[in-house]
Amino acid sequence: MKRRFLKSVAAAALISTLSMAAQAGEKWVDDWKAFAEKTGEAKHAEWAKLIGDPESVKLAKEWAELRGYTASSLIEKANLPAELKPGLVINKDNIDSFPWLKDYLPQASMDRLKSSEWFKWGEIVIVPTNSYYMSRGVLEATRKAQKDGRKLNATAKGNLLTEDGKHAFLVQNDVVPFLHPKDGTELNWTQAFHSIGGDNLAFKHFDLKVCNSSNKVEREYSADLFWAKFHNRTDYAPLGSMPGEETAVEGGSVYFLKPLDIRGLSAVRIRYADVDKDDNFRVFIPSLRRTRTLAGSDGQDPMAAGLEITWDDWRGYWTKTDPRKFEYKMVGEGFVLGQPDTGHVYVPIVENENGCEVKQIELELRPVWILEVNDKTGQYLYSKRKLYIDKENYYQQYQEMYDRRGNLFRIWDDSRDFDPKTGQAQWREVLNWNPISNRMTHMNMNSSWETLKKGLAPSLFDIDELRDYR
Amino acid sequence: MKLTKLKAGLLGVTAMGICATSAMAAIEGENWWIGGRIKQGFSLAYDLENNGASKGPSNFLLEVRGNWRPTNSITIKADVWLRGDWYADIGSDIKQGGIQDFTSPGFVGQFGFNINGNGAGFPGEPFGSRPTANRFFSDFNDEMLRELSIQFKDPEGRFSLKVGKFQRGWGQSDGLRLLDVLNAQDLRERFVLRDAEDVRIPAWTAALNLNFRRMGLSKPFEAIGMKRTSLELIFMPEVRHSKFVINNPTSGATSGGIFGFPYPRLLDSKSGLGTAFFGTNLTDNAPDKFSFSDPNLAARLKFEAFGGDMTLNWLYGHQELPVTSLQGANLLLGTALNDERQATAVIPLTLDQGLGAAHAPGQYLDFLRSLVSAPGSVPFPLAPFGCTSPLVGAPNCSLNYNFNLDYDFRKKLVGGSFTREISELRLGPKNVSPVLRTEFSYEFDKPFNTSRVITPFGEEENGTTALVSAPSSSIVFRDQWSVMVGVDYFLWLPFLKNQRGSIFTSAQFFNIHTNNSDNLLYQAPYAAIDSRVNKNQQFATLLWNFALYKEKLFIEGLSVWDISFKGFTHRQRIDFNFFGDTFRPRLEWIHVSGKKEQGLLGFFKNSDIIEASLTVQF
Repeated sequence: MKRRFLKSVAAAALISTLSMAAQAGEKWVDDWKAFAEKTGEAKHAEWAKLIGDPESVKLAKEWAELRGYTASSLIEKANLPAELKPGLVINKDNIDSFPWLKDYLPQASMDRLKSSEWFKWGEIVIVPTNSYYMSRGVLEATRKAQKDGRKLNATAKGNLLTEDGKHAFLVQNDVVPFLHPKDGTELNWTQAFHSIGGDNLAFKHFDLKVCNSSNKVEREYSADLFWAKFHNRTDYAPLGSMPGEETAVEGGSVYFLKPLDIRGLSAVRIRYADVDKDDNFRVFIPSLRRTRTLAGSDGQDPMAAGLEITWDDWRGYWTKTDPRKFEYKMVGEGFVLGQPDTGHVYVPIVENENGCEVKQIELELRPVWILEVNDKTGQYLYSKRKLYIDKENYYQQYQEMYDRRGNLFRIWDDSRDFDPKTGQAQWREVLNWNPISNRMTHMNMNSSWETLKKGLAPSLFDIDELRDYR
Repeated sequence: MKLTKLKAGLLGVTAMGICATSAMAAIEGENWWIGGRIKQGFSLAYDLENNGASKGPSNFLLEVRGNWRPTNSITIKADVWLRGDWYADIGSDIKQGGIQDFTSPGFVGQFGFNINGNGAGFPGEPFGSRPTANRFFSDFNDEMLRELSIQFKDPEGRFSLKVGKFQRGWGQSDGLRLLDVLNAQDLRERFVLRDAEDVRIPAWTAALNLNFRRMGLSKPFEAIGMKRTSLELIFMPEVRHSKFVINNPTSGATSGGIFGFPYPRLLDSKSGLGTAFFGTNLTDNAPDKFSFSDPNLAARLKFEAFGGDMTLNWLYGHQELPVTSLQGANLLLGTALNDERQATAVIPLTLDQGLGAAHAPGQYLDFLRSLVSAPGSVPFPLAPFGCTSPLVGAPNCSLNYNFNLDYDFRKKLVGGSFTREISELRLGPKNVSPVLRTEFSYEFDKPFNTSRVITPFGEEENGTTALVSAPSSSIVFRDQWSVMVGVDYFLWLPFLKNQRGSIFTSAQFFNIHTNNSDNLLYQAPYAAIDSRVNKNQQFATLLWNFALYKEKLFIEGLSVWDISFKGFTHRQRIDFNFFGDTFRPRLEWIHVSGKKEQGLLGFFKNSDIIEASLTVQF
């Protein structure tokens, strides 16, 4: 009781300081301050403080100027239900009293709230809408490209080329390809550009928990994961291009730490710009103590046994763009309720003891374009993916994947570790669930900003060196 | 059946270990970690030469591993294990063949050799030994220390240096080793059918890896199409050879259980008779174990070319498997069973005397062969020593030849490998490309024992009797080149709409060509007829694995065909990962078939087992 009182006092003090220091006027900042004041929770206050920092506000406003809108401004213009506002708590008992909810909350999430058995969600709390954006480097490069009137050519084969025929992601991978995508092709390229949301990623560690239909933890993995964009790097050394990676767009590595029988299993996967060049995928297998080359053309296997996440699902959507195999269709735009990207300060989920159920989940309303990626081959793992692409930062806020029979197969909803001051983002947490087999993979990422500051060692992307990482 | 106190005690120890381990968790900090595992298996051996089915090996393993990464540039690793086999204590006795049975017609039968029991006494089962040496592999440096290494990585990625005890796998072949020859193998527990990591014997090594690209030295290589070139230099002052046990009844009998190499049949190719009264004392002759002046040296140039990964490899090492070299003999008086402990006198013979005792006119081989053509025409050559001729009474003398198992020859090898995803070829419902793996090695002057010699007395000898010859004539050197072509493919079944994961398949074909291969023994002292090196020795392998029940039931099969000797082995594993991440129950089935003593697989044709094991890891 005493503790709670002290917490409230501390939160109140923080909010009061904020109120005095903050510059009024930015709706998302004001909304968050008000919300923090209302909840009295220190985590909300801390987030409000971070997004209200002058540095954050400046960057957000510059992005808003470039785009011509913010999420808040789009919401203001929309005709939304009056009840859909920060602080609204939705639970199993009252969900049916919000008939409009289905237009904003995908059925798969509503099912979780209504569920009394598998992967239950206790309650949803609507939090204020934020402003999300990418880094200053991307902002400035995109601004310049706009000014220069640069045009891109998305070819029917599946390459995104500059006017002089170069792969865009090799020479201007700091420029948002289509700020206002007109169709599915442009939207797909823009979300593909978002990539990891910055120059680098470093997860130390990346914990994956596999929960079964009885809400029991079936498996747990732990890994360290590193990823890098290879060209037009603007924030972390080496700036510009990574030496020796002329034809590759990005690459990453993963080193498994747990469980013991796969400890040391490590992989380096490099993605090339050309649509016809398969990924270079090398794996070090501890039981052989040898490196093997795996098929870069196979991204449909789970990343590890029992996981719902495949290589093509890594970071939400990592299937190589190829219009010969997929149809990219913008099927609409609107708003969706997804997890807020508050991971830099706090995880927007309160989970139960074993992490297989959710006691409380925060969701925020996001303006999105809806992209459908339809399989043309009739053989791909998913007949359709439906991605809700955020109109501010071009990353998906929510994704539904459908199996070959057309049934909803997997859902991806995540929370990024977004730093409002720099616009850089890593990941904090992902819920990836399968309503057919009633299994859920819960990922928690501990983003190591310190590692990014120090720089990612080149050895992390060389499988013959990575094998001795730990 | 009542358990003896010892058996109950051993089972108790295992059970307690497993319980204790299951309650443990790995301990770790931000930059360090300590974990481990305990494994206990129990097996049923079947398809035995004489016994049908029996309790087989009960291998156990306790392992503790750890690492510390004090900075981004330094990694320190340690790995210690204790492994062994309760077979000597709780396994069944199994009878294999021993020395030639002089009571059998033509001496072609073999006395039994109990590989987990004492000899019952002549004439039934005169020999036996318990494989107690396998109970604990407890020599700290040789058997327990798996890794103790420190690696320094240049922050710029230009080089890395790893020093310490560790193993290094090279090449692209699985199962058979063309380039993966830096570390010798421990074949004592399950021949090569354990995981490669567990089979390799680590050695004190320094490995320097130079990244030419990051060192700014890549231009000349890139000019000829070699990209991302790096060079690995290996300095290995600790020279190890492969470990195995021959189930040898002679004198201080040794047993390695059912995965010990069976005692060879000793037959005279001319008369067709068994070389009764012959035994062998075997002594390892290995190079200095730790030598800075005579180390193993190796280098590997790695680069990208032709859309794939290539390596060029070089090794100046030592042979990991032996040739036999005759050193002399011991004449045993008072025993016909080659047991020096039972002899009334042991008369050492020099190499020349030993050769004379076998090959000189009127000596052993002449006597033996006369038994077919004209029994009694050649007097029993040991009669002057007071030995009774087997033609007239109970024999009471025997002869043990002293062989070195000689590892002191250099292994001089060059080779290369190439791996590439064949993106041009898209197969199956998911349009997945196969991955091509190829490997090539050329070994210079590989030593072989020859199966044909001209004795100092001008006679030509073939097979077993050719082993009894001076090393200068019994050991010859040949060049050998080997090629492997393999394909890995992730198989998605077209008729399975919602297949969760692919079936990994990996097929390999090997051809091992030996120049001037006539009259070479495949592996001395196995000298039975047809146990020869083929000019082209061919193998094929198939590995596949897939997972069922949400990847909890993991099934893996590995088949190896010895095409040339018509041998076959299959290892089937089923992992039951239903019990969280701590418990790993496994069923493993090993089946081997082949012709006795012919080729690698023929040695283990009676070593089939089904093992149930439980690993508890933390």
